[in-house]
Amino acid sequence: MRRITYVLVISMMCLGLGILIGLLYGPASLSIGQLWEALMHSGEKSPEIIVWQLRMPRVAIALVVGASLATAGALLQISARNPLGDPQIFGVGGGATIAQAMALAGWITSETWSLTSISVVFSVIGVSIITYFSARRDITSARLALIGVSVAALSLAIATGIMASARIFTQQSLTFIGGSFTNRGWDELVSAIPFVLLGLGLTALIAGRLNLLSLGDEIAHNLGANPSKTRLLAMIAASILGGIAVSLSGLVGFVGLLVPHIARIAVGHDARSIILVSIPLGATLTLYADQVARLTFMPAEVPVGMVTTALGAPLMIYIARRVT
Amino acid sequence: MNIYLDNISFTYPDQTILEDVSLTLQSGEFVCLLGRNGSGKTTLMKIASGRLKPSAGSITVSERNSQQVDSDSLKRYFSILPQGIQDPPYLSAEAVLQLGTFDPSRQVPLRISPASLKSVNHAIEVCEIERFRNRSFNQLSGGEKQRVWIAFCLVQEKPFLLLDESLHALDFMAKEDFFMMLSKLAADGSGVILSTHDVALAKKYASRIVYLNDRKIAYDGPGGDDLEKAIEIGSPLLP
Repeated sequence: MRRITYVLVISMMCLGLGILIGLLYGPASLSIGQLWEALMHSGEKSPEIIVWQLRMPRVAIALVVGASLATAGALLQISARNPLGDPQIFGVGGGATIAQAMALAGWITSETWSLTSISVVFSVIGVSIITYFSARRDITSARLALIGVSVAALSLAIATGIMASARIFTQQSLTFIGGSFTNRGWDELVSAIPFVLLGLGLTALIAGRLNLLSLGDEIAHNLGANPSKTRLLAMIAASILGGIAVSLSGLVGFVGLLVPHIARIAVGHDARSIILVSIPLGATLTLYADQVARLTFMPAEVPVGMVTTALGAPLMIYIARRVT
Repeated sequence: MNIYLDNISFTYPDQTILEDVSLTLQSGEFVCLLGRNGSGKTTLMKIASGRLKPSAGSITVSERNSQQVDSDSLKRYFSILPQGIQDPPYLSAEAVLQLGTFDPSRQVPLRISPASLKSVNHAIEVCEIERFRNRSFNQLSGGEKQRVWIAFCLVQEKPFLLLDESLHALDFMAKEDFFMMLSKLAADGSGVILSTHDVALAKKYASRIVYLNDRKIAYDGPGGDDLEKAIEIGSPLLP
């Protein structure tokens, strides 16, 4: 218990520093004094607009996306008993990917609330397809992984096809596929919040029972648990969170895969600890990655998904060699 | 406590696995279930533990009074070790045992309750696994893992243990050790049912041997010449 407190405090401190960097620096850097001024009065002066309308929502979106991806990854890794669990690899955000591509192509509405809802609904439908095909008597983890990977690949192919056929600008498609927080503001964030809360609430509901899945379904069943149901709920929660992440930022890779592994090294095996720690860790990682994406080639930006992957892949290789 | 499986049959649409099998299980008894691959041992054990519903037949539990029970409530009487069980990833031996204290009617507590901890400690003592209780499960040897699994069954405090061919990858010492431990548990009052291919050890330690052949029980009794005869009749190709 004490260890988890340390980890939480440290990641919160990193998070605080990251938020500060996110608010202070950019094409027009502010001093601490200016930031304080701007935070105190939200008005029409330029630092105030920069802080309130540009940087703050962007920081907040990075936090929400990071936390959602990491939680979804943890849910998948634990419920599928598979270290490869990641919302992108398992295709749980696949539906949202297609929905976003359709919106970019102008096939469906791009109005914020509708698009967010459609993305989440599509994700849940995608995951229902995955679990439907995985469930012959029981939802086994190997089947779940294989079918998830197929659905992930298929939905990306469909999304790419939609964008290509609608002749969407390369820049826009690249931003989406690479993952980015540009052109997102308070509206998108606010429309995402209820779904994030829903996903996290569902996660909290099943977190304790997720531990039983590591015993294998037959034993879990004998203990009086319902492993298939727990796994199904975990998949739905992951699809809501993964879908939200896609609708806010496109395809941001590696956060969902990497963070739960770090969390496991930090706090051990309990599903609740892993998820609880994954939330701030995922938010921190994504926030810092976005600072790199924003600030390195200023005023140009690289997609944040490129940065998370560039940071995450070497770290994952290191962890894989150490742990497995 | 007795559990009566009466006239149990189990059929798939194209195949009969068990035909009119009757078997009584008693606490305090160490029963070894013999039979060739595909003779229905696993199916019979799954029916006993309530994982599969029999196509025909009934199951009765008699404690103070007898009552017929459905498959769902059978799991309250049996802790199980299924065939080909996988190592729980990342968990320590003790963490595995703590999961055994799960109570479906409650949320999983953040910290293990004193009562559960007591039964975990008791199982650790009985199975003599104190010195590796904090080691990671998948780093244990085959014999050590086996002990943890038995402790895992004990933690559940159910009257019967069902173990399905959980002997593979054990060396001969560990096997003997395993049989000794099970017969000790039976002597302490548990009902133990083990499916195995090791006839010699079964004859040495089991209080009763059940031999399944050709969808039916071909032998039910103490290990002896009659058993040899039954096995010979069941396997005409043997010399």
